[in-house]
This record gives sequence, C-alpha cells and structure tokens, in this order.
Amino acid sequence: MMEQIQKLRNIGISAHIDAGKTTLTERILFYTKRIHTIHDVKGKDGVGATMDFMELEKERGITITSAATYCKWNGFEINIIDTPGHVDFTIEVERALRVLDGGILVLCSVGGVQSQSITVDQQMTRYHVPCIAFINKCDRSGANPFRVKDQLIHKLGHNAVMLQLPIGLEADFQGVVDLISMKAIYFDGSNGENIRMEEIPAELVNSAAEYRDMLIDEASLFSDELTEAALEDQITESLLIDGIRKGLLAKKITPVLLGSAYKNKGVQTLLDAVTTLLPDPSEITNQAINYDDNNTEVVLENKSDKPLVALAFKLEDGPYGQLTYIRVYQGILQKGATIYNSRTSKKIKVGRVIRMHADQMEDIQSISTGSIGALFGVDCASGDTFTSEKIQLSMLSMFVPEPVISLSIKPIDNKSEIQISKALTRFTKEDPTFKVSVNSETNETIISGMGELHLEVYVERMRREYNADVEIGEPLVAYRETITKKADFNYIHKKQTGGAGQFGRVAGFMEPVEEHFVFTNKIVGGSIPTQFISACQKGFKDCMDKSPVYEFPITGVHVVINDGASHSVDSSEMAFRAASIGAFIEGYRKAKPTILEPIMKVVVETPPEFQGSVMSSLNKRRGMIVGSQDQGNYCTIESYVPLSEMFGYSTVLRSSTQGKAQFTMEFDSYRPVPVSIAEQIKKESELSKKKSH
Amino acid sequence: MNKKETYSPHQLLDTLVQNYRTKGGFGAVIARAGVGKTALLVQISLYTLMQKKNVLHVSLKDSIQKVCLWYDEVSNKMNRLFPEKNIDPALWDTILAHRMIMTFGENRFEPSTFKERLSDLTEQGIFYPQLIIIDGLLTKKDNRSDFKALKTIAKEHSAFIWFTIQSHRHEITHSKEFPPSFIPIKDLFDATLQVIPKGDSIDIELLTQMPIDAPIPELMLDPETMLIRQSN
Repeated sequence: MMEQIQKLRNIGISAHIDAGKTTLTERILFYTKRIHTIHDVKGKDGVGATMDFMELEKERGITITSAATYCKWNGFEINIIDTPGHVDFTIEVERALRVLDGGILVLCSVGGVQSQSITVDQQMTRYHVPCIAFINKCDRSGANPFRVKDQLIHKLGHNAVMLQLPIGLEADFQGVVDLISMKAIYFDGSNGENIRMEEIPAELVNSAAEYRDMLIDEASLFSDELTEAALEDQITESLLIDGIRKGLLAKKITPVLLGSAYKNKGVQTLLDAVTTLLPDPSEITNQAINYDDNNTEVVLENKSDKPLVALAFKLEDGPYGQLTYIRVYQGILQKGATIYNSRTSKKIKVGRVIRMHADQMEDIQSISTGSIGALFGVDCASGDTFTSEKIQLSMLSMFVPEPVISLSIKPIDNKSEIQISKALTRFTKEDPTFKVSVNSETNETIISGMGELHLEVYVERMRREYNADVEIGEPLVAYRETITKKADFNYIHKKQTGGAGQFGRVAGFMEPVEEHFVFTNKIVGGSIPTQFISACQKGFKDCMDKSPVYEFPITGVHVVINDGASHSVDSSEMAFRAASIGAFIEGYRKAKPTILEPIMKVVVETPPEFQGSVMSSLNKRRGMIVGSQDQGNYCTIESYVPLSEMFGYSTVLRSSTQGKAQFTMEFDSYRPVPVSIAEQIKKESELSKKKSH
Repeated sequence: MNKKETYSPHQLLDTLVQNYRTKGGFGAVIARAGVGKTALLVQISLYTLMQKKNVLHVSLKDSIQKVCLWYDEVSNKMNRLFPEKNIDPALWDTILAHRMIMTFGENRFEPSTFKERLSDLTEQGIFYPQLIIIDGLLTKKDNRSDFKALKTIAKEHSAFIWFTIQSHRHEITHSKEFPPSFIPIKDLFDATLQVIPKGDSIDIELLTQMPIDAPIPELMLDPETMLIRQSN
C-alpha cells in the first residue's frame, strides 16, 4: 500500500495565459499513451487540444474548466489538473491547488514572469504547493530561459536552479543538457518520441560544469550526505536528486527545466522530474477540522484502513448528471459504500466511481488514499467533506473571493427562459464565485462574477450549451452607501384608522462604524418595553438593504437607541418596527450619506517606452497611481482604479501599447465616490427607475 | 516668525525645501547601515505630504510594496506618539494622492532614465514633484557626474532632492566629519543631516548654509521609534 502511494503524484499545471500549459498537457497525454494523436490548441485540424474539451475553450484558445485527467509514466500514476491561466478564473486555480501535492509552473521563455504568473505563484504559496518550473517555448524568437530564471529569483523570490541547459535557442533549439546525468538529450521522431542521449556538445561542456556546481551547492544545503560526497568528489545521481528533492519539498529550491511543448522537446524529461522530484501524497501533511471536538485540527493519515475523509473540490453537470470530483485524503472510497456529507450530515450511497480523462471517463472500483477521482449522482456543494462515519470533520475551507461585477440578463423568449434557469442552477453549483440574484424592482436576473470575461464566458455557455438566447445589459458596478457623521433621530409612528391603532416612538442616534451593522440598546427605565426591542433591531437592519437616498445597499452603520415611548394598547412589534424604519430614514438623511464604489488594484506590465501613456490612461480613469517599478526591459505600474472606469480597458491598453502591455485587476476596497460622480450615479439610477416603470 | 521661537523639525525641513527648490537643492541623510536613514527620509516625506505637497519617492533597493510599508509603519508610529497631529483616514487619502513611488532594480538607475520617467509624469500632467527622495544611490569615486545630472533635473523640475548616503563605522569618528566617498560631491549639497549614535541616543546634526532667523533646534532620533524629535 505504502509503495502504491509513493508512486502516486497529484500535480497541477499553472501558468500565465498563453504560456502553453494546455499544449504541454496534450503532449504529456501523448507520451503517456492516453491519446494517440496530437491536436493543437488553435489547431488547423479543427479538433483542438484534448484537455480543452468545451467548444468555447477551443475557439478562444483558453482553458476554462480545469479538467482532471489521469496517466501513467514509468510505473507512476499521475493525476493532472489543467488549470486556467486568466485572472478571471482564479477560483478554478484555487480549487485545483487545494487538492494538489505539487505543481508545474509553466513560464514562457520570451514573456518570462508576467503579472499573472505572480498571482498563480502567490496561490501556490498560499497552499504550500512545491513546484518545479518549466520554461516553455525555447524555440521562439527572443527566447531567453536564463533571463526567466533570473526573474523567478528576483520577481517571485524563488531559489531557482537550472536542472538543464538549452542546446541552441530560438529556431536552433535542439534539446537539453541534463545537469544531473551530464548528458545531452535530443528528442527525435516526428513527435519527439524517441529520446537520444549523447555526450554534451563541446561548446557547452564548461558552462554545464559551472551550472552543475551551482546545482550541487544549492542541493547540498539540504543533504549532509551530498555535502560529504561533494567533498570527496563522489556525487551520485541519486544523492543529487535526493538533495534537490529535499530542498523542493521544503519549498527552498525551484528546479528549472526547459523545453518546447509545441516542438515536442523536453516533455519526457519534465515527466521524469515530476516522478523523481515532486512529492507523493504521504509526504504532505493535510489537516481537517473536527467540529465535534471543539474545532480542533486533526492531522489526516494516508492509510487505507483509516476512516474515510474526502473533499469534493469541483462539481460539473454533465450529460449523465452531476459529476463530483473528489480527492481522498484518508481511507478509501469504494463503489457501493455508504458515506456521510459532514456539512449536511446526510447519508450517501456511492454509485459509480470513475476516473476522468478530459471529457472521457473510465469506471473504477475505488479511489485510493491520496488519489483523485469522480462520483456520479452525489448531491453536494463544492468544498463539502465526505466521511465514512457520522463525524463533523471538515477539510479547511477554500478561499472564495467576493464577486465585483454584475450584469443583467434577459431571455428573449419563453424557451430561453427555462433553459437559462437550468444553466444558472448548474453554473452556480459549479462555481462559487458566480452568483445569481433577481432585482426586485426591475425583475431582471442579475449575474455577478469576478470580471467582464468571467461573465462573458458564462453568457456564451448559455448560448452554446443550452441554446438560450439572452440579451445582456450594461455591466453594473456593485455600489454601496454609508454615513459619514453622527446624527440623531426621534420618530413617532402613530396610526389611528379605526380599531386598534399603532403607536411607537424610537429615539437615539446613528454613527459610522467599521463593521457592516451594529445595534446597541441603551434604553433604561422601559421607555421601549423589552419585548419590542428585537422588532426595533429588525426594523433598523431591514433598512440596510436599500438606502432611502440612492437606493444602494448600506454598510457601516452603528445604531444606538436610548429613548422611546409606548402605548399600553396601541403598541405592537409591527408598530415599533415601522417606527424604527421611520427613525432610520430620518437619521440617515441627516448623517451625510455617501456612495461607496469598488476600487480595484490594477497592475499593468508594459515595455518602458509606453509607461507614460499607460500612466495617462490610468490617470484618466480616476486611477491613483501608487508607483512604477523599473525592471529593465519592462516596467510594472501599480494603481488603484474605480471598477466603473475599467470597462473595456483591455482594448484601450492594447491599442495604446501596440498590444505589448497587459494588466491584472483584483478587488481592493470600497471608497467614497467624488461628489460629481455621485450626482451622475444618482441621475442614472433615477433614469433607469423611470424606464423600468 | 518670532525670533525667540525655535523651529519645529518639520518647519525647519520645509523651509530648507522651499528655499532651495527652484535652485535644484540637494540634501543628504548620512548614516551607517541600519541606523534609520530610510525612516528619517520617510518622515521628511510625510511632513511634506501632510502639507499637500507632492513627493516622489525613488527607491533603488526596495519594491513598491516595501516602500508603502515604510510609510504605513512610520505614520502609525507618528499617530501613536503625536496624537495631536493625528493622520486621520481623510488626511491619509490626501497623503496617498500626493505621493508617487518609483523603484529601480539593482544597477538600473541612470539619471537619463530617471529624467525620461520624470518627464513621462510631468509632460502628461500626471504628477509634478516638489520634493524627491532618492533612497539607495551609492556614492562612488566616479559618479559625481550622476549627481550633477540629477542636480540639473532637480532644477528643471523645481524640486528639492533628499538622498541617503551610507557611511561606514570606521569612516566617521567625529561629528561634522563626512564619509570619504561623500567629500567629492559635498559642494553640490545644500544641507546634510548626519545621524550619529551616541551611547543610548541617536543625534541628528544639521549642517546648512541657509540663513536661519531662529535658533536651530537640537534634533535626535528616538531610538525606539526612529522618529525625529527635539532633544530635551
């Protein structure tokens, strides 16, 4: 059993968009004999890469869903999760990293470490995923893997060490020099499938020796045996690999491999590195929280005879029903077994257990400890933990960012309406960053997500997969309101319409606060009877959903009630609730309300010659430029820009920098909008209200 | 100003900047490594920013995030020590709006590149610095020409530049003595702030040719907070 787990690798392939990870995955599947022909991402054969199985992904050349796949290499079982590279899909990357034991960070030898690589690297660090770097596209014009290695050191803070040297570069890229075996490796045959090992070319002998010394120096810091062997000049391949591996597992070394997936070079050596260097599941400590035992952390054991603990890390609604991707951390998940969802305490009978290969599947009997598979027909949410006993054990929750942008969608006919509803149910289950709500006034369906592209892709998927034609509205920014000063209120609600009347007086003040909403009761002497206090609190809290001024949700209000009056007959919960609503409106208008808007942290990477125009474009968008970082042949500009000004920015940036700059954007905070913009927002909201009536 | 009244540290530093700005004034904070040069410069910058004047902070050693952290740290300490000068959220927003950070990788700082970057900012009306802080530029035997070029840039943009100058333990034994590497460029400077640890305290010695119509206060760095204060 132990031997079996030692021959298992759960790896993810993460990178910047267009660094070539889908092509790399495709080649891995070819060399591991999971597929028999190679299709390129934007291939002329019209088939597309195997991992990008959704039609839309093939068309755009981007990977949207992280398809899990399984392959074998030199007796090792490898589960690969292909992850999207665009920032709008980071939840996919986050999910994948949660269940991985190691990663391949793919970098482009021309583009180098770009802003998205930094985000991906931060995510790997958050989940303590040790990784090896693969510098791809060494055949491209302008390829410089040494510069990329330096960027790994300076920009990402990795202790990057070369494991290989390139033999030729750009159009002359022929193969690699392996610094462990000190052999030159060439990849022959039409698909690079025949590996030829030869002596190192004479012109590279000196530099290979120099880089091998550097590699030994770094690796010997983690292995005393290697240090001793180095002193006695008796270094063996296994000692060197052991030293590198120890450094890698401690996240202190990042081995760098080279190649060109497109030209079929360097992929097999990368697979060798995956099996020899990256950790097996037993080498990673995984913890769960035991809710039954005062939320204590429990270390999970990679043993099949222990009770089952498994995590549902991804859901997909396929043609055969819901598919739940599972990683087993402890115990074994067998077909026909009874398991519990620890969140809902529901009992589940395990039906079909499968292993995924992109969009094809293979039935298996069980998922062993440390491995990844999928279940059919299990009702659960993404992030749920399954156990074999009825215990409240949960894997640490995954980090889910809040959506920042929304869009209204409208079906164009009845048929589409039904289809949209189906699609939205599926998408929200699959993706926790994608949310759906209904605007109670306009009755429009609102979808919210992490960026323009994120929402665009879902709208496209509705059209393609569900034949649902939708009209989309302008992107909407999630504004909020808050108060800026303390204000008193004293409101009497009085109604006499025959029969029992309504009476309640509520007095106090409201003031700005950091939290969303705080209610303090300072009533003494029973001026408001205790039984009505909760009705008051409810009345005030209900007002937070929609402001009486600009009608946006309110945040940051502390309500204090310190006086009031009641009537022995006419006072009721309803009367005090109404009085509180009146009091809130009265106080709120006096408390100098202001609109808050989401501010995004925008990082642009551009060649230095466009720095001025990029800064100017950010400045025009009410951006506050924090600074610029000169990195020689490119520079990074950091700024904070209101989200409302960022729509269509990618087009503007492309045209003003000849397509050479790129940017990433993430939510930072809510800030007050300037008065002139507040007026404009108010006018627009009034106009849209008139239109909807 | 009443002649009997001494300058507060920030008034004094501000007067320096105002007097020499149009002439491309230079100031140097001279200290050994780890004594508090950056902390001192960040305070000088914060004093200027609080008056809604633009400061360009150029770092040749730290990243943008690290420079931002310096400002957060120093302003937090100022808030704790001088609650009467509290930097409230509104003032902090103003400070950020008036601050721009520029960082250069190792050995990538050239006066010509800096001139280009600065022109990018001013020609498009994005930012006009009144005070520039250059942290981490080394004084070498052969880089007087770099300092001269920077002086021209400062003059063109009517900005005062504060530099950090690192001294070595063995170089300075007496106060008012400059590190040997600084002496060849000393004439370009209009003021120096020398930070000298003395026993439990850290003294700051200001040397300037500027005529000052009030007694110069005796300054020191609080060893715990690294904030400037007047000696008792």
